[in-house]
Amino acid sequence: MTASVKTLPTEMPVLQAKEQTLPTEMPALQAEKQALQKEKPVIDIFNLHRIYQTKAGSIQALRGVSLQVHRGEYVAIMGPSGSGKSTLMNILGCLDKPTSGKYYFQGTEISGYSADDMADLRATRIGFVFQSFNLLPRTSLLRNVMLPLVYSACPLSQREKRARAALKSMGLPEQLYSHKSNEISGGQMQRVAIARALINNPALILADEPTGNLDTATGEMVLETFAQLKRAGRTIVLITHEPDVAAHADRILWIRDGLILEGGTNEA
Amino acid sequence: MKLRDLFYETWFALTASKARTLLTILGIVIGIGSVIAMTSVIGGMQNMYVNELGLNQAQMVQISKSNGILESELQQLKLSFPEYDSILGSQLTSITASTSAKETMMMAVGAKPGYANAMNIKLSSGRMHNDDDEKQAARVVVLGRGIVRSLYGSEDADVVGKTLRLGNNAENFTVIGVIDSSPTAQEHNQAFVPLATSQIRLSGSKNYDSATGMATEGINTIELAQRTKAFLSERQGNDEGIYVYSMKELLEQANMVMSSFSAMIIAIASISLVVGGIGIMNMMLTNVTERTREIGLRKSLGARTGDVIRQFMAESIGLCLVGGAFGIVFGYLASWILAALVNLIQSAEKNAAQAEQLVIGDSTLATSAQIIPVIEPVSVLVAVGVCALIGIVFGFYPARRAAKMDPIESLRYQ
Repeated sequence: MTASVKTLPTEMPVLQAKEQTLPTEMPALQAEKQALQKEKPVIDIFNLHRIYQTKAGSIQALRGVSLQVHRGEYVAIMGPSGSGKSTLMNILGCLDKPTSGKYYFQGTEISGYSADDMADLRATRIGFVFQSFNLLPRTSLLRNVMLPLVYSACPLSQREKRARAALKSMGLPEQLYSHKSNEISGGQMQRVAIARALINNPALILADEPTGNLDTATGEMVLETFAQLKRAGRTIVLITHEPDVAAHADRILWIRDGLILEGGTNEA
Repeated sequence: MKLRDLFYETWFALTASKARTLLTILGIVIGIGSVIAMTSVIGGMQNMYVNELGLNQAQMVQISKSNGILESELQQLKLSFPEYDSILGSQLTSITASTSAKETMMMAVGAKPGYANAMNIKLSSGRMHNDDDEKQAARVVVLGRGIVRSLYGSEDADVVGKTLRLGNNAENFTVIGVIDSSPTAQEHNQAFVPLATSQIRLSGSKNYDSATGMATEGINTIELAQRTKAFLSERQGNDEGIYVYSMKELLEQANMVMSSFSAMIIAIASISLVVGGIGIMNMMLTNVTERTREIGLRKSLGARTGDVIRQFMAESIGLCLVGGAFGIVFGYLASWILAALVNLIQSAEKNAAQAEQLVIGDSTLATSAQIIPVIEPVSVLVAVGVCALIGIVFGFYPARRAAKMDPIESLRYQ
């Protein structure tokens, strides 16, 4: 009797320890989500306006758009042509500045950034994927993928290594790496473009109609790639006008006439 | 790191279409090439004048009077102008010379033994006449190689000891030496005799036809020549028939002519360079337009405005430097061809003149001289500098256009 009592106290801490380490699905996920919410969002825009001056007069492309995207989210922005989605993407990607409103990128307000500062942001924290791939013609895949490293001051010795790793992660076979970009298929080109977008380990991936120039099957494959990236923890914002494509994302935002209709908030 | 990348990008861009690159730089190649060719040939001509024609004797002053210089005048000059180390008088008589087989006209130079030394005349065989010959007014003659050729068939003929008849009296003279002269030198078609011999046997006059003064090193011979001329003019009452000039003056005049010619050539070639530069700018503008999407892409990947400017400026400068390199090579090849042509024409003229025995005492400049183009490192450096400048000036506007492009517009460009 005394012996078993004596062993009991030593068992308890072990049990307690085991209980603590045992992952229970719901609380853990909830805790993670809460942690993410507390962390500053990757994108936090507030009341963005963008007015263009053209010869025909001024055009209000964005009329007070606000939205938040947290790390690991996969968001699709849908809208017809002329809705302002391209303008929004350009501002999100630091290619353009809003006429008014605030943009907090990873918690830092960038409205006051100079052109060179924004360029640096694009080089290190943002990866673009375009509808028409935009690979350098007559240039090898390796050199195409390495291009962002030129502008992010990556040491020469590391460049090829990183490029190969990025291409490999996109499932592209090694014998293709020295091929020129115009010698491969459309689907392969887009995968090279995605590898290029990932090479600087960006905080945000912006995709503008990435499947627009691909057939349905290849398009599906590219979207599957994005899904994999999302599962790996990447933050993705996808612009599209096709509902089938938008359906792959976690969250869909509608934009029309310069305003977001769902998911985000309006300041009209 | 960006410098290495810049170099690589430029290389890649220039070799992407070699044919287009070559056509673009054609203007620069021709511009630089013609400047290099011209300045090399002119440099060669200047050298030729300086070396071959004795114009490198900068301290020499030539004095001549159309009615002759008296011995007393010569002595007075010596006394009045201590700046001259020596003033040596000579007589120049045009006479006939004949062997049993041939006959020719030649210029007989009668002068004291020191004259040949002062004129830097070297012999290839035999000896120059000496004081003994002078005392005796000996019938001895030293021939220039041109005369040797005219009388004996070949410049290298062994003629020391041979006899020939000279002068209106057809007296027998012995050849005692041959001058080692080049075809461009004055002495090539001259014969040297002792002064006394010339005075008594050939010219019949005691007066000098001309005097050669050698001024001390450091003396300004141009000014000295002017004073000498003034001195002689005063004695005569006027300056008619008095010619006093320093070799330096001749050299400077020749240089001036060459320089103005050079300057004109360079001005014309510069037009070609400007045209070439415009061609570069045109090509760069087209280039920038063609690569609009690429520029937009690079900006989206983080290229700063400065990066884009540097990229296209480097291409423009690279183009011009490559053009310059080809231009320099082309220029030197052209200069050799040009020099050969000029030499060919000149020897043909000289041969024709000799054949008709029209040459009596050679005083024409640029006879059958061989022009060798001068390759100066300075001109290469200047050419490279000019090319870089053209690249910068004509590349700037296209580079700025590229940098100012709106990345969003660029990415949409078809």
